[in-house]
Amino acid sequence: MNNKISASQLRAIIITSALGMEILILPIVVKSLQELIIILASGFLFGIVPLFSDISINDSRILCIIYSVKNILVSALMAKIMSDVIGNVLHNDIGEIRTLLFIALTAGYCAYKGFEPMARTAQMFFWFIVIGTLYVYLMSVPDIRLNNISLSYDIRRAASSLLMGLVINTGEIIVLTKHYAEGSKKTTLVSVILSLLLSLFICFTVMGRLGTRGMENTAYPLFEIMYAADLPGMFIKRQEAIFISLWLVSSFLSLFVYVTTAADYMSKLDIKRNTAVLWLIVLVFLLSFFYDGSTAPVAAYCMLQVIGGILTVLIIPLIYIFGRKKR
Amino acid sequence: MSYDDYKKYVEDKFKDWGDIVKREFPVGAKRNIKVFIAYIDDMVNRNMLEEQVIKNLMVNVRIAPPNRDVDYSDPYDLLVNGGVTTADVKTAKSIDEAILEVMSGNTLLLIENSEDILVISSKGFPKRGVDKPETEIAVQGPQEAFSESIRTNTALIRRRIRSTSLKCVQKKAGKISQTDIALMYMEGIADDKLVDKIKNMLDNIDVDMIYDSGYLEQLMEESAISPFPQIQLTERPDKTASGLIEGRIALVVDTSPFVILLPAVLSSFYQASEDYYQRWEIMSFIRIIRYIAGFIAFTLPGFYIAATLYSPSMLPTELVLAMAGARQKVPLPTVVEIVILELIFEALREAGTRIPASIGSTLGIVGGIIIGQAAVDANLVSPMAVIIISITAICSFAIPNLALVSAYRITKYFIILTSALAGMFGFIAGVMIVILHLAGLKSFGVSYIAPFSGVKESRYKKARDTVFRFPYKGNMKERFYKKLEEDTDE
Repeated sequence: MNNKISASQLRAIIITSALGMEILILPIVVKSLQELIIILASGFLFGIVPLFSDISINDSRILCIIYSVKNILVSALMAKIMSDVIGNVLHNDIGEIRTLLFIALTAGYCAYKGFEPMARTAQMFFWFIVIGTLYVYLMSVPDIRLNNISLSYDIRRAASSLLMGLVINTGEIIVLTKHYAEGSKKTTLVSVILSLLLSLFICFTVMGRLGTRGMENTAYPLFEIMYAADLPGMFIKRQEAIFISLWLVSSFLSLFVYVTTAADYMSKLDIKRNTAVLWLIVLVFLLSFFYDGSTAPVAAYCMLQVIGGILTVLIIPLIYIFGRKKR
Repeated sequence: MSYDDYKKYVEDKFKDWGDIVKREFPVGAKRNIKVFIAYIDDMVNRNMLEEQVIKNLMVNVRIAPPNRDVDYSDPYDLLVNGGVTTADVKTAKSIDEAILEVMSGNTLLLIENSEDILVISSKGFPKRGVDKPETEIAVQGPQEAFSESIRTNTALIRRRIRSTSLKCVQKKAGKISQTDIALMYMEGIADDKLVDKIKNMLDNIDVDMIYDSGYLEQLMEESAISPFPQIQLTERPDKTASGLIEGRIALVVDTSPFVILLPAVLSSFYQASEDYYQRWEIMSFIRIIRYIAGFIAFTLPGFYIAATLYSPSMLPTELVLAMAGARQKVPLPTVVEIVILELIFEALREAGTRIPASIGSTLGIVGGIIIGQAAVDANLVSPMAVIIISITAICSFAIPNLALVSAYRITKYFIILTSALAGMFGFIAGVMIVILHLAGLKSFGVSYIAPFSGVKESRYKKARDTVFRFPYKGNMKERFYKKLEEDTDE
């Protein structure tokens, strides 16, 4: 494995990641259409910065430490959120410990295999995820009530909304994949725009279907739409399980990006790769117990992405941009 | 070494060899040149040897008038260019090489007053004829299969590709067995670096015996622990020829009726020769069926366990009630029931391969129908479980490659395990792990899931021969494997 990925694989990673954790979190944090647009616009800007930075985390030990820590924490919270979704939405009565252990082991296996197989897996699943997800939300378009969409927005929240753009992990994925990706900037930019448009469409549909109150009363508004999914003539009764499975695959793929790159960075810190993978499995599993319930892990995830993202998505890539200009 | 030294060396080496034929006799008009001949009985073509070599040496050379203007100072030249009337002769570089040639079915000829050792090609092993294929049956298309003879097999391939670009490099592998291996490739199409790599691999194989191409396959695979085959074995000459044209490399192993084709990607295991002999619409449809069947073959039992144990609400209520009713008196848990049935089926399949064909159908009736029905009647297993196992088995038989079927057989138990431990989520995680595993595999530098992933988009557009078999336009098959090194490892 040479751990290099193509433009189409990067596109698959960016878009499938957007259809995982991102579309789960956005309907939870967004209260109005303006806020959604501001968050997505700032998410776009945060995605642009790393795109023009020639940052290479793998070449710096300090960066490896910073990004490893951030990735482990993000992975643990992602695992926790996924576990909660599995318990609540998929009605999989297997217990949190077993679910988290499975998530950690699956992510560990991906880290063991390396970044290239992960990118190929994303490419394999790409069309299934995009078509499946689009199908569900397109089916819901006729049920959108425009009066459900809140247009009241307190401009004083603009700063926090702008920072919430860091919850959209496109920028971070570009930073993390910089070392592996061989695609052109133009292709990556198109992928970022497509992922944001998909997020916009999905969040708009959720808002239009559920309304602000409906979204507040639901732990995971995203999945409320999926319950309405109905493929004619399907043998399976609870068809939302299929679409939730697609979401799970997308979330797994975003989790894989963090865990696999973390394993790579740890191996640059003189830790054997296999040992690093073992540590990752243990850490992701144990740290995911830190927060309990449905809302706390989501809040912690957003906080981590915003605070950590200022450093990892904004400051460090900017240092590289200005550093290059000085040189 | 002199003629006598060579002769003694050969006799020592072949001491206690009951099946060796050794003879010394004088040749020449004056009968003044001794020759020594050695070959292994029944490994040579005796007719050719006696008519073209021995008769000439003993009779024709002797009746030449002694006063004829012949240079007797070079007996080797005299015999090679006048006594042995076959073109396929060569001079061995050493006596050990000549002995190895004898063991390969050739004939050694030592000539007095000459240090050269003559090797006459006289292979004539007892061999099977060209039979019908047994594991890759096609209703329409050629009905020829490879046999155990390397030369017959290379000839079957050459018959299909009459091009000087088809190269055949002869190699030997196995320290003791010294098995002949023919490395065949199309010059200008196959990747040169890959050809060199394979040559090096064959030169460096460090085992005593090569029993079969399956043995060589396992020695050459990059990931030995993966259940998935990374090299394709085929018994069909037409498939081999087609692979060569695509830019693949063929290894014809002596004593094996299966030829190795490499590189091999997952989609190549779903292709059958017949796909190209019938109309594209039906064959594309069948291809899709194969892919679906392949997925079902390793996921259905796991999905059944996940759905019934953890997510019964996914299924229609009537079906859940019917299944629950059928399972009411079954004492075994679903997982145990499925695993036991799967294992019984594996035993049945294994027994079916070993028993004579004439009683094979009896085994199917007794094992499949009578025992299956009795087990359901005795409430040992539920009818639904029998149906699930049967569908899984039928789907596995729809895949045209046995090695891939075996891989799915093993993978199926992994999915059963993950589904039993974590229900529908375990099922999804299990399938993801399998796909990650497949995505991580490479066959001689080519992504195992190519062209779906792991190759440049330009090549993906070329490789139309995957899930669909598109109608022919120009070339029947795109040269997907041509110059792969340039395009893979993005």
